[in-house]
Amino acid sequence: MKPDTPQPVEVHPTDDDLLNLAHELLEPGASRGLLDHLRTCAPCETRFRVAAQDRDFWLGRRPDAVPAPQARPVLLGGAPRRMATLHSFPRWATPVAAAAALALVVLAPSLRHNPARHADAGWLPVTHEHTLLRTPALENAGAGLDRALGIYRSGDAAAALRELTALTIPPEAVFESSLRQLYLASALVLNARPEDALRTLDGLDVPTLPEPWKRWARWTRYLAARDAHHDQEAQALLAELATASNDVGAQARAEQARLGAHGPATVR
Amino acid sequence: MVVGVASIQPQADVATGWPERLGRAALAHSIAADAAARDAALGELWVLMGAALLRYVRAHARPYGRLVEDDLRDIAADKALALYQQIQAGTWRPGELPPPQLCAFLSRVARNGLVDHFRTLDRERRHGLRPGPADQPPPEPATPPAHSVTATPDERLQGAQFAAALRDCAEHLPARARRAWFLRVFYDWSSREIAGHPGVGMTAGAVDVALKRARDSVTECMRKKGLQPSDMPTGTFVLLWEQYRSSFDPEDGTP
Repeated sequence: MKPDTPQPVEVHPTDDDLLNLAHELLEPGASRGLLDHLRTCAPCETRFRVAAQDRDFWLGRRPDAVPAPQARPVLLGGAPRRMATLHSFPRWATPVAAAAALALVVLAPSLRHNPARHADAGWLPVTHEHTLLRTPALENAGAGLDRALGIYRSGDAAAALRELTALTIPPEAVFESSLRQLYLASALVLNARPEDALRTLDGLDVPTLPEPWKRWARWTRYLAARDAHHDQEAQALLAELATASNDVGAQARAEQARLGAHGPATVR
Repeated sequence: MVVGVASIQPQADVATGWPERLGRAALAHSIAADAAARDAALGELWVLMGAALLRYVRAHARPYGRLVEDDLRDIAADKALALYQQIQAGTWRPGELPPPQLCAFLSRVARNGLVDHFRTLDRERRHGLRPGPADQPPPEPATPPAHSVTATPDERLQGAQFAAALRDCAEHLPARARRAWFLRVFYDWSSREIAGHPGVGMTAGAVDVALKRARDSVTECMRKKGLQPSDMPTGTFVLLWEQYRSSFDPEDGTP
């Protein structure tokens, strides 16, 4: 090529162009020109296919059943979660999941000194069991855990404990196994077996859990330590959890406020 | 050949398009007089915000090489969910942000999600739950090579003929089966994912059956035209997408 030969200019669309096209936000003329380019540019067509696929991805995953807003305030921080909440799941789960999340945040303050309802504070939200669907090879394990978590979510602590205890998950299903242990520990707390819950949590590699299960595991550990009269551990955990700006942090601060009102000796 | 590249940074000239539309949807949500209007605005917000976040997550992830698609989506979904809840609670009002600021904000949120993801990856690798970087396949080039990005006239003609033939064959499929077929062929979605698409609305088992019939039908139709529906030439997806995109919306009521 001679130095003064004009260089052909091929301007490929930006990601924003493709996103706008996929969402049909362009004027007809602009859309036509872009489509003409995509027909002849294989890499651009591949990029556009991703953009179009993304639109369908989000269309099919609107979170109709999200926990209450105050239960999930994480933004600009916090470890990534799995895609669980965004997979389709039964609409009947909406009020139950929301109620469970609300129970954690709203009802907990009144439970601390009411032995009859004391256990309610130990219920964890169940909104992410669909994570299990992500591993087709482990579908059986996923289905078993899904069933057990469904029972847990129904609020029958004894049945949940039975189901989670009996559940067997293959060792290669690391994440599913961790979820089972977490909810099993919670069920043990709910069934007034805090020492067993602590032992179960000892076998759980909490730091490697993605959020929100990691913080839920630590909250469950706090409840178990408190109920098992491990006062030092409980107080240290509570102090640490209370510094977080998330659902568990809010709950821990509420717990601290209650303990402040009744004196530190009420931690048990 | 001079090649325009997609920018990682939010572009100042994105004053129209998705950011503006997102802002309008947020405004519509905040002033909606009835539940249906509120719900429709929230639905649009969700799709646009999620797509924008995923677009930024992908852009920020490019320098780090290949990341698992599920992880990219998880990162975007995590942030989209948090923002969605804040919109519902009225604690974040994207409609009040000018488009450039909205882009910058979503880009930053996406980047933070990616950083958190890498922290988690490091932790999981330390515990032996994930393979180390040495076990990962090499990253693909972020930008296509400047040469051979455009088809030759012959290829264009062949591609157009093939695409038109495939479109005609797909036309004979029932609408829901065609959607399922499209999602499998062009997006490589699993039967479960397809079943969850609002435009499909089948069980995973029913999707499998519909896909089998659709594949057989399309293969036979293409065979009669003297074509094999194997490697699809450039332009095929665009033509099929143009033809069927509207029928993918869940509210179109197509059976």
